[in-house]
Amino acid sequence: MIKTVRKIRIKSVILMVAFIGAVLVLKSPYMNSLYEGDYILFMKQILFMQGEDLIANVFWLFPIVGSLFFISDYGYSRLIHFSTRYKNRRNYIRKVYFRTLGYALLFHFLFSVLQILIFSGSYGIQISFSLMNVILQYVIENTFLSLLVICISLVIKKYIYAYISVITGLIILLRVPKLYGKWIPFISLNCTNSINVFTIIGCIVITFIVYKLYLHCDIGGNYEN
Amino acid sequence: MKIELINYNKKIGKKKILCDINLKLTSGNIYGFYGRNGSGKTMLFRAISTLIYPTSGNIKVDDVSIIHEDFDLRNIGILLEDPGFYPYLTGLENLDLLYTINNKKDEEHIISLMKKIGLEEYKDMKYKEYSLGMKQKLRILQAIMENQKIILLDEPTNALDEKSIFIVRDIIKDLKKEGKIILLASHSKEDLKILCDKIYNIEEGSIVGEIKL
Repeated sequence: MIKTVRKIRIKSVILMVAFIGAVLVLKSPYMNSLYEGDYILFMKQILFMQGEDLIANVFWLFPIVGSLFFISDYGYSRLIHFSTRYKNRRNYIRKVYFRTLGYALLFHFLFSVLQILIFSGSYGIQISFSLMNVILQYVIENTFLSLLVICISLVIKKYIYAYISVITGLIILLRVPKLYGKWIPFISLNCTNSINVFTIIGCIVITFIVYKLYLHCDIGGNYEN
Repeated sequence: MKIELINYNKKIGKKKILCDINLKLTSGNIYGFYGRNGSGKTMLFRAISTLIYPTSGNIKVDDVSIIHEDFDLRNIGILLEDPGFYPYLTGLENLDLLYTINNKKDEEHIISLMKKIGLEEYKDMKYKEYSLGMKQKLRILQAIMENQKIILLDEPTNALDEKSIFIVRDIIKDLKKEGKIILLASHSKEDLKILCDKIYNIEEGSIVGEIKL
């Protein structure tokens, strides 16, 4: 079984390493000019930033949309491959959904820590409550996005349309003034340094909706992608 | 064991996919379903395996509704869609992986089944290297390898050569002797004639009657 798991994972690991490498290459040229005296702001900007430079904005969104795809595709593709071997849907969704949630939290945490470790450079790592807050905010907001894509995919039964619609919504809503954006899940990442309680509520609500939907929706078949 | 479909209806949008299906199926029998492409055979099997839910009606196994979210579906084996085999694993590893979902481990049993269906010499070959016929045999095995009591086989002899068809027919007959309820959908009148105790004709989502071949 260990040998089997190793076979399944190697390709995914290679893909992940390539993705992380691409993120680091794209962000690197901008890092030297980011620090302006505020260490925590710098840490935040390593992870997420939207400014005047459109190309930089795209580069900073690349890891967001990439990790969104990895996590949400993982969760949704497993949900639509229900097997009677798992006893029933209630049992299955508990396993798959909470495993997806776990992967999302772990992935975003490790990814954010990796970026901070690499880009903090000469400023070093100053472990503090504020830094933990930055990382936690990043993890929660990105996890929300992944769960949202899974939820919409279950509703409309087309993963790619759900993925594109969430990204499109994201790009549009990032234009919302920061005064109003601080209450919008994920957009608050661009507007405030505080954890958005509405994002947490959003995650809980989405979990409830996905659970209820999945128990009685049609899965598989020609109308499922 | 018995399966009952009671006034089962399924609509998708405005289209009626299954209409007023009423069936009573009992152990130790093979039930055939004959109909053209799009007649509803596969949707009927998806309904019984609870991949789709009814617009109205019910399905019961031994008088217990299987549509209820807590019903234990592990006694249903399905040859319907791609069970999601990993292309980089061997045939044996793929079956073993499915077998361990319920914390079971019996490689000898799986190998004996692979031998029975003619896959033993290919058990260590990667799934992506399998021919269509070999893949079909592997799909059949995953539907029957855990001693499921209800077995749904949608076009089991697709892509099989003549010798393999005979082997699969013998396996299905053995399953009947073991007291399983077997549902068989096929375009092959020969398969249905040789194997089935009853054959239902499906047209546009409705069972229009029994047929004799």
